[in-house]
Order: sequence, then structure tokens, then C-alpha cells
Amino acid sequence: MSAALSATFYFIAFIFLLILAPYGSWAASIPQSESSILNQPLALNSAEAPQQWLNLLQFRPSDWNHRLRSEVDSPDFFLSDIGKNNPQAELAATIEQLSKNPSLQCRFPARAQWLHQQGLLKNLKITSEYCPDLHKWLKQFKAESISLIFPAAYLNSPSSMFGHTFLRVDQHNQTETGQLLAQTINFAANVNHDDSEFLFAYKGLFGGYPGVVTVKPYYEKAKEYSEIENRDIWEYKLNFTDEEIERLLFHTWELLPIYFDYFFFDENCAYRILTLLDVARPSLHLTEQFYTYAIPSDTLRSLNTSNLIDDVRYRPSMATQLKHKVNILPENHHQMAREISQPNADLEKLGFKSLPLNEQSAILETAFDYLRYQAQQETIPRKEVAKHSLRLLKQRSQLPSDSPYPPVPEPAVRDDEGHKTFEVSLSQGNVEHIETTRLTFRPAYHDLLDPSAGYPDGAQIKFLETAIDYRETGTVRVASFTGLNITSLTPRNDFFKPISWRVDAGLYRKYLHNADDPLTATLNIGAGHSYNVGNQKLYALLETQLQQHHSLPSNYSANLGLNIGWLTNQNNWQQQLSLTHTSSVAGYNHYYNELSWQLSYHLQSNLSLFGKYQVSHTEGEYFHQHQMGIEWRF
Amino acid sequence: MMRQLLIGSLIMGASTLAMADDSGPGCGWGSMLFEGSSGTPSHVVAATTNGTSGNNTFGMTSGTNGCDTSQTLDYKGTSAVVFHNMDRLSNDIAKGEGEILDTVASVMGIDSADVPTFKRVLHENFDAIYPNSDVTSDQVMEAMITVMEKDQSLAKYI
Repeated sequence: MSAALSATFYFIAFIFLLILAPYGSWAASIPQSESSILNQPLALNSAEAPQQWLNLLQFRPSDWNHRLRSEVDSPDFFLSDIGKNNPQAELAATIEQLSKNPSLQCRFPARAQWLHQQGLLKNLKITSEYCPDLHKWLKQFKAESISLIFPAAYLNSPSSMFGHTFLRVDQHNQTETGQLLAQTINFAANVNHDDSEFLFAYKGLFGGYPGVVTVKPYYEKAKEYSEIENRDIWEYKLNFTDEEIERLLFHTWELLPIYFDYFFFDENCAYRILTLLDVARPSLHLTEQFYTYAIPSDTLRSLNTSNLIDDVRYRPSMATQLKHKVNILPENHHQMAREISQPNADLEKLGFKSLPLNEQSAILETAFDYLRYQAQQETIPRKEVAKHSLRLLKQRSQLPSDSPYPPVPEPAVRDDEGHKTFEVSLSQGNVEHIETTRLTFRPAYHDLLDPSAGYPDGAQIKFLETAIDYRETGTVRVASFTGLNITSLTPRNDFFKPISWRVDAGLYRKYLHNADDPLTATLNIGAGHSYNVGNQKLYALLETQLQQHHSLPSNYSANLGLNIGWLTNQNNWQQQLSLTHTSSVAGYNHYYNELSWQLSYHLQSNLSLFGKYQVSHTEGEYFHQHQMGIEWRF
Repeated sequence: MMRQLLIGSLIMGASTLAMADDSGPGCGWGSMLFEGSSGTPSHVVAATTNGTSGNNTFGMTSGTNGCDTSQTLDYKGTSAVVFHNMDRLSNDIAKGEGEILDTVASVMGIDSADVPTFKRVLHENFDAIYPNSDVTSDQVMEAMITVMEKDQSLAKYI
């Protein structure tokens, strides 16, 4: 339970941080083409040229005043003293210094090459003879192609839906098994592990840690994601030419010794990776599309529309592989596999040895993976794990080598092929006997009743969802405002025992006995269990709730509650029945019951019809409302 | 535009937060098994930032996790692969197949015709390669070499 409490703490802290977040740039707009600033006095000979110079300097208009500045924060990245804010001055200084001092070209090969192509630099000296270090570094990649690597969401963490992206430099003659040896280019915050976790979260959000480019073998990165974090990985091979790959690597080399202030909101990993792709192929203009933010799955959508993707591969995580094995293993062996995974298991006594050899292999492999999974979840102390693991492996090594399990099949819908994330809906209905037309905006991301393909099972993130009512009385009012709602209904079964949880912070209409319904500030935190039965999901969450509004008796109410629900998930329709009972423990002394039923029918993945009925019961009175309408996601 | 700003403040860029390894320092197979943590709190924190592994538990920089990685054995870079995949390699050898085993074969330059033999020989000699749970990656490497030397078709790769 301490894990859940700790999670609760971080979510409160997180919401707090969001509220404090320096939005700063609400009214920002993309400025007119920046290229004009480079038109004079230097003549540049291609349409992409000025933009490419800005790309090479990692320039971007500031969110606050639209003035150009480079996002690189190391002074030695600039050859002019005012280079960080003045690309023109940097251009002049670069031309001068690279000509005068050719060894400097080894430090900035991408700039040197570009200036040479523009006719601004006479002698290009970035050969292996002049720049042995650069070429030694380049050689290690044996580069033939570039893949974009996208680890998908965590098993039980909807907040990781946004994923993380990095690049893999695939090698010449790379066989499928050689993938792990390829190097990756990764943008990450160089964190200080001595910082407290709260400071860690705060600094991560607000740029307290410097961002750096790291180059590591793929087997290390794949291990982080698929074994330690249990995230499936999608690998997108990009169709860059040799010249473009060389340019990308030259520019990566330029970025290696420098740092960026890692600013979590927008200058995140996905964005930084896009800048590399833009340098490789300036005509992509990817960073312009993601001027202020970059959600990795949206990034992938835009790569798809740019016809940049050649081929897609899927790498299932350890947890996915275990799930797959559990699904295949006959149910009458489930219990034995679980028992054998326990450190004190006695294989003789369990009757294991009398089974056919292929069944023994199947049970042992599942048991080993399950032991690994439990060790990661820390439900079994690690000290006890090592010896028992070796015992299981020894046992397995005495059986024939053919694994009884086929490979995990690729999901039919990838993470970047799910529904789009901005939703607008229009509905007509009746709220407490008043005809009401409702308009709802949801900037992000996924609702439990949206089509689930491409999203984790039972996960929901809603951010800044705002519903406005136009009532037949001629008044307009806010019906609800969800600041943040994260719900994770990950099902439990024989093998997996995740906690389901929900955090919901927003302004919601609360009926009072005098038929007033003030827009009440509400924070709801719940934890519980959920179970899948076929396409049905049943869940129960214990909730704590804080509510505040000046028209509540005693201004506030602290409540405890129980929420039970039933969710049906079919291909083209979903329904959710939810029943909540809450009782106050402090403040306004009352109880509150709510029954709601929702149905959505998907005409397409981005277009749905929906209906909702809700009845609330408090202080002996009932309050009804219903809505029917249409949702569009884009 | 608004959408971009709104989402801009959402959680993204999640990567690894390497939690301290509570099994204590050491480089044996047992202490390198099942590295990392995926408990709920670390999810939440990990989601907020994208930590690099300058000094985390799977960093190979010497001294940071009690592992001396100034490898005496290299074998064309095989040691690094073995070191970073102690856990999966043992699993693959126990099954006689798997991606890490294929990767090790590829780094050692084993011809595709000899790969099945390579896998079979290691599989049959699991006990010799992993005699106990304290075995280090260097010892695993050494034992693999010894086993291969004894096999007619694999000896030439040593």
C-alpha cells in the first residue's frame, strides 16, 4: 500500500506543479518565415538554405517574444559572442573562423559541409586525414540507415502514453539479430541521482537538469525499456539517403559536447529528435509542425504523412511476452507455473517431473518469466531470487532446446494508428428539466469510451476538458472542467496483480439539497482492483474526495467513497455503467450517490455517437440529466 | 495552437529512472539479475523526466556500481554484450535459443552454418557456464570460451 500512497503523493505534487507551470505563451503564434533575416547580405543558393542554417544552430523562435534564439546553452557552440541570439553574426563568424582555422571544421563538420555547398567556404577539410577523431567516431556506427525507436506506454502507467523516442543507426549488413549491436542517439536529461525524488520531478519539469545527447548501443536502450520498464517498442525504419545520414551524424557530433536546458514541456526528447531529422532532410519541416510541443505518437503520425517510414518492427516487452505465454499455457498448468516460480518450490512434490518434456519446458519458461516479473515488482525479495532463478534455468537447460512458445504476434493497431487526441463534441439533452446544448473540448488525450485500439487497456488521460452548456433559459455556463484525469484500470488475474487507480482534479457541478448546483473544486483520488471477463471489465475503487465551494455548507467537504463500475469494450462500441457512493467525514455533512451510464458507438476511429444518462441522489432528492451527441477527434 | 500549448504541459519524454539497486554492490550474475524497478512510484517520477545513465545502475562506467569494467577479456566486444545482458543471456543459453545468443554469435563472428552448433554446445554446457549465482560476466565469458575450445567446429573462432 505504501507504493500507492507514494504514488498519490507524487500525483498531488504533479498537479500542483501543473498549476504553477509557467504557461507564459498562451497567445503565441508561429511567426512569419524566419528566413528573411538571412537574406542579406549573403546570397544563399537554395530555398531550404536559410532554414537549414537555423536548424544547424538549433534556433527556434522564443515562446515568449518570438525572437530567435538557439536552444543550445553551451557558449562554446557559438563562434560569435552573440551567436546564441543572432544567426547572421554566427554565420559571418563561422565562415571567417572555419576558413582561417580549418581544424575547427572537425568540430563543426555539418556547418562546414553546408557552407561549402552554399559556396561560402572554399576548402572543405573534413576528411579522415584532417579529422581522425570525427571519422573514428563515425566509423563505429557503420551507418546504413536510421530507425526511429518509439517505446510505447507502461503496463500500468497511462502517463507514459506519451512515450519517448530516440534514433537507432542501423549497420551495414545488419541482420535481424544484429539490431541490438547498433548504436542509438538519444536526448536525455543528465539527472543527479542524489536529488530527492520531489526535486527530481520538479527539476525534470522546469529545466533544472541539462539535456545532453548520448550515444549508446541499442541493447542497453532496449533493455531499459523492454525489460526494466516493460514497454513494448516500435521501430520505424526511415528512408534517409546516405548523404542525409551523414549530415545527421555530422550534426550529432556537433551536439555531443554541448548541453541544452532540458525543458520538459516542449524541449523534450521527441522534439530534439525531430531537429536531427530536419537537419538530415530540411524539406521535412518537422519542427515547425511541433512548434510548441511534441507528443511522440503525433510525431510518428507526421513522419507517416511525410512518407519517411520504410518499414515498422515490433519488439514486445518482457511483460508482454509473459502475458503471451500465460495466454498460451493451458490453464491447468497455470497454478503449477506460479508455484514453481516461488523460491521455496519443490519440483518433485508438485508432480512436475512426471509431465511430458514439452509441457515441462512450457511451465518452466513461464515460471522463470513470472519470477523475473515479480522480482521487478519487488513482490519477491531479490536476495531470494538469484538462487532460485538459477535452479529454474538449470532445469530448463536439461530439456530440449525448442521453445514451446511461438513469437508474440504484432498488435493489429500500432500506437500511432489509434484515434487522434483532440476531441470536440456537441450534444443535446436535458439537465434537471432544462433543455441544454453542450459543447465540449478535450485537448488531450484518450477517454475510456474512445476506441481503444492503439491505447493501453483500461487507461485514460483527460487534460483540460471543458464542457460549456447553452440552456433554453438563454444562459451559458460551464458544466464541468477537468484539469487532469488519469485513470488506470489494469486488470488483475492469476499472474498480474496491479493496483487500479484514478486521480481526478477539476471543477464539477455538485447538487445541493436546495437545487443549487455550484461548480465545485474537486480532487478525487482512488485506488482499487479491476478484472477482465472477456470484453467486460469490472472494477471497484475506494476514493478520497476533497471539495470546496463557498456555497457548500461549511465551504468544503472531505468525503470517502466507493466507486464500482462495469465497462464493455467492443470494436465499434463501448459502454460504462458506474455507481458511486460518498459520505462526508469533515466539512459539509452529507452523502452523495451517483449512477451514470454511457454508451458510445464509433462510426470511424475519429467519429463517434454517444449517449449519457446520470442520476444523482443527495439529501433525499434526485437530480437527472441526459445528453446525446456526436464526438469528433482530430 | 491552443491544443499545442495545452498538451505541451503534459507528461512526456518518459524514460528510465534507475532506482538504486537494493541488492547491494557486486557484479555476480545474481546481483545483476532483474535490474531496475518498475514500482508505481518510480513510474510516476520516471514519467516526469528522461534520465540518462551517466551514473545509473546499468552504467558501465567503472566504479559506479561496484563493477570493474576495465575488461581483461574482450573478444571483439563480446564482453560488453555479455556484461549488459547477463540476465537474458543465461535465459537464452538455458533454452538454447534467443536474441541475445544470436547477438553474441554475431559479435563473435560465428558463421551462420555453425550457429546451431554454437547454440547447442552452450545449451548443453549450461552448468559449466553458470556454476553458481555469483558468477561474474568475465567468468561467464571465460567459461564460454573454454566450452567452445573443446568443440571441433567452434574452436576456430577463439
